[in-house]
Amino acid sequence: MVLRAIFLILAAFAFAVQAAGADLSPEAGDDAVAAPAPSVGAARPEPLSHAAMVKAAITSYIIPHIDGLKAAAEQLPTAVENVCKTGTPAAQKDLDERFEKVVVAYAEVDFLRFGPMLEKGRREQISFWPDPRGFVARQLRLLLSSKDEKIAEPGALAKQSAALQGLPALEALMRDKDTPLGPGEAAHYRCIVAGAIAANIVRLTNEVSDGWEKPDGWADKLLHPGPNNDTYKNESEAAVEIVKALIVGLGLTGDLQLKPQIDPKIKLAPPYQKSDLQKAYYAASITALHQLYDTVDLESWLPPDRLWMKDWALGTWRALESSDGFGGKAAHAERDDVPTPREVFDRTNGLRNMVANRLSIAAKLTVGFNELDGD
Amino acid sequence: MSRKSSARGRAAQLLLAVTVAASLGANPVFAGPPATKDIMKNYGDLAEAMYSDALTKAKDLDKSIDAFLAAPSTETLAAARDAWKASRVPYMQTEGFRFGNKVVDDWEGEVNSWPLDEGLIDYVDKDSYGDSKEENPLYTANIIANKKFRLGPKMLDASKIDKKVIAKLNSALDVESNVGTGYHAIEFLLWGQDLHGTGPGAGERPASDYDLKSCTHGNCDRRRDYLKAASGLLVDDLEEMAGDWKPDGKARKALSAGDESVQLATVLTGLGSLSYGELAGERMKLGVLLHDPEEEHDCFSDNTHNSHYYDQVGMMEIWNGKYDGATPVSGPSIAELARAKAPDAAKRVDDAMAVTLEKIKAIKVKADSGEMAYDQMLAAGNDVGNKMILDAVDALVSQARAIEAVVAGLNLKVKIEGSDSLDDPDKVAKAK
Repeated sequence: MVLRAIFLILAAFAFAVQAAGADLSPEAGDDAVAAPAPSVGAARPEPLSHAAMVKAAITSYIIPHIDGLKAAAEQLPTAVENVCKTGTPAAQKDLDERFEKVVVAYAEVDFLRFGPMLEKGRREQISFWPDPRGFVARQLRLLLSSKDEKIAEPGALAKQSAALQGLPALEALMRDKDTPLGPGEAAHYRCIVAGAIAANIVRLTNEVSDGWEKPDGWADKLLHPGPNNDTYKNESEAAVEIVKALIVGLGLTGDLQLKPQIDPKIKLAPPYQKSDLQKAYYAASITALHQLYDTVDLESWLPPDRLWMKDWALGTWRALESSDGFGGKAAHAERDDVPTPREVFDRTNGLRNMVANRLSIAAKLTVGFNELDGD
Repeated sequence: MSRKSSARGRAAQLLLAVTVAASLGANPVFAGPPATKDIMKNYGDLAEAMYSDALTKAKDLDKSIDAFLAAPSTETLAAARDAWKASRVPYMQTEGFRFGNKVVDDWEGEVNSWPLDEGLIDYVDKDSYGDSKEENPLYTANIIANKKFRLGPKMLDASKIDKKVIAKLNSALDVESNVGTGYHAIEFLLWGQDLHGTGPGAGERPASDYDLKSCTHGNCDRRRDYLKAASGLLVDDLEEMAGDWKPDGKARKALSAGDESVQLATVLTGLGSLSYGELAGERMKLGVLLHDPEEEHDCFSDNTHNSHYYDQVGMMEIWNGKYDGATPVSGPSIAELARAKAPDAAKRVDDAMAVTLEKIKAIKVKADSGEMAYDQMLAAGNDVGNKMILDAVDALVSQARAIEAVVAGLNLKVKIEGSDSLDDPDKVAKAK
């Protein structure tokens, strides 16, 4: 028994070190290397079945957030129109606020990169980011120089590049200090393009919502797996899709939002930085991922000798939520100290590894490939 | 079960299978799943045969470049271009070995890096290419025209262009699109930029760009040195990889170091990751969503349809353990194992691979017919072409899902890679 207890503590310690990115530096925080004693004798809840996991994710997370994105997007065209008609500070402020709501709502579903978001490249069309090779700026410059007003015709923008169709292109027009959106002649064509983009974002978010919620849509597909289902042959495959989204989301947040801050080799501007929304984007990403993590409750599958992982995860979420994602403290921080960017990155990475390599296995799920594979 | 009793069981199964097959007048059928060690030996043999064929074709390319440089003409340039296209056929079939095998993945950047900022290498059309790119200080460095230039704190002496100098260009200044070597650098040197956008036509570099007597675009001597160094380096690199897959080579050794389940998972990781993230995502979907011909894989030569097609052919060969190359290989495969242990999942892969092949073949047939090249298919407003590409993307994603089902059916685990900080903490700077 003594040997077993020592083994468990050593195993817990080894995992915590690995999950925290093997970072034993002081700034990594106490929780990163803590080896909580395994809980003993606590009553265990029944593990959430794969089918229940999927149902909970759809009803409690996916559909409400997809609806939220759709509702936020519907406010954009009028706001763009008002700015272009009046150019008043009030109209500008209104557009800024509505734009922020759409960006935040999008951040909450960015990692649902399957189904209606994957089909026809809708995800890239709504939010073409990251853009390390500057497609948005280059292609927008070409479009603006063409002054082709046919772009305002229904469906015309939908046939153009994804880089021109969504939020980053609209942001570029909104933040151009040389030629701001407004009633003047100089901004006439820009306003035509901005209006077309806003309408296109509404179309895309409607299509995504419809794709999820219509009869025989993606929600039904996930909820009714089986031999005749062309995508999900059993409940486990449907559950894997949800867990994969969680892993992809943690990967996106770690590698695209956090890692560029600590690796000088990576030259990548944060999302929606022109609008100073990078912190709002980070906060929305983390809140959303935490909510989905709790919803699918992979921890309910942990055997008694691994229950310490719950404590580690709790400390990690607390650290991620205490950070503003850029070295500062979040408004609602639960920790007194400010987690360093390195700690935030390592913990995000550790959490991803824990979900991918520990919790999913405990839940008897085989996680395979995703779009982040490859170069 | 002990090894002896297992062998007796296999022998009994074999006898039964042969008896049944003989009674049906068919070829013998080997019942029971193949052993992992036999699958992995055949997998290594496949890799060795495929990389050896890629090496042979790279040597042919090198010889045709010698012939072209000896007497630059439209005809000898066309022969070199044909040799380049032929060299892509066996190489693309090897790409299913890349992901999962670290030895291959670490090496791959030297031979098939893409996309590249070609202005690093030679002259470009500034109207379409531009003068500069914020992310890449070497965007128009043009090493062929410049005998030295700054690489960060150091000056690169390129007074003589050779293999060592061009190898230093790869990922220079930590910019991935700085590519100095490999198939695509050679492709650019043979074709030049494709200035037709999404219209018909590929690059039209004149043979006189290499003619010392009537040189066009200047620096023909240095351009010749570059082309020869690049083709020679490609041969060297493929020699290395073909050697790595010989029975005592480091790729086989690295693979055999893992336990059996890790070895089998490596095979499926290669197929799944190439199908989804790489081919469906990076190489196909992004290009059609951006409608940008620079995003097609073989953008100078308009050979993209063939590259994608042979990627799929290679994945099917690896899955089935069978390759009809210069040295035909056929043996126990992961497909056989899956058919025995997870038949529904195996059938799903078989079906998905057939659908993917059909979709990519449709692209190849359309492009080969001359009706529509790949860069025309991805043009904005080309609904027919866009759909052909997106159909292939969807098929590849389904193929990855099917492979994932085999991973589950065989009770394997695909390793989800951590970020650099976990795999190599030194790669990431300490917190600021």
